[in-house]
Amino acid sequence: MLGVFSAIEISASGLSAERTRMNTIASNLANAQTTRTSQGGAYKRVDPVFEAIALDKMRALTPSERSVSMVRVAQIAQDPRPGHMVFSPGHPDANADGYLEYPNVNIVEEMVNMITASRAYEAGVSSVEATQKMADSALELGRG
Amino acid sequence: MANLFSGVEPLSYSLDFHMERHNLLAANIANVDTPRYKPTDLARIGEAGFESAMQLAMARTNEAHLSTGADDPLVGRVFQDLSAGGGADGNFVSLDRESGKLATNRLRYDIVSVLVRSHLDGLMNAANDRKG
Repeated sequence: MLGVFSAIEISASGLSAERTRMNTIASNLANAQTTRTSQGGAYKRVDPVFEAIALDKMRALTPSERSVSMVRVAQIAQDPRPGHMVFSPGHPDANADGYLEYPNVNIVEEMVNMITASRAYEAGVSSVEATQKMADSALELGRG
Repeated sequence: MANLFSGVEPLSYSLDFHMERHNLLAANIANVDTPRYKPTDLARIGEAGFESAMQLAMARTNEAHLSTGADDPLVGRVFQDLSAGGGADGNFVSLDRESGKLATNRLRYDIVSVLVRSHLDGLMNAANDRKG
């Protein structure tokens, strides 16, 4: 049976996913100039991959229960695009030709993603609020 | 002879329907960034929609009156709503549409619960011989 708690659980999965996106954006922005990583080479920007997952088989009995899906972060994928090369022969991380690879992070792109993620998060918060208000009006029925 | 609670029953089905639909809409909002996600929605089965359930609740004061046909349980039919168009990642969720639907659905839920409340108050009034 879909009710107040399942609605909050579904919205919470969305909030958590958007928070992960915000974390990857923060990581990309913080490392926008990082030229040295443990895997070697410049930092590569990361993106979360979202996946829709149905409710557990035990709980999904009716058509509407089978059609609702939560969201989860399936993986954190590395962006394979190459970073830009800058000629700076004095830098310790520069290659044999004197070129230094900077991360493939584009600040503007990250900002746009950040705004999208925070809007999606806000929408999730207001849907949790709506759920709470609905539960309140249902509780009102028992009062008086 | 109508049951004492026959006025409340269709309304309680309506509350169920709107809570069910709320879950579907919340799932659409949660999946606003999921690639290839198709939003789902819940539609009423049969002709008796929200308005006729309202009419039944508000207008049917006598057993001899014609039924509006809203006595059947308000179960819904799940359908994919692709009217918003898909983005480059194959996601068809429009945040504005879904928020609008969510707000409308919540308002309907609140209206129905107020109606249930007033129905029950009426019964309580009758049970207490109009003394409180």
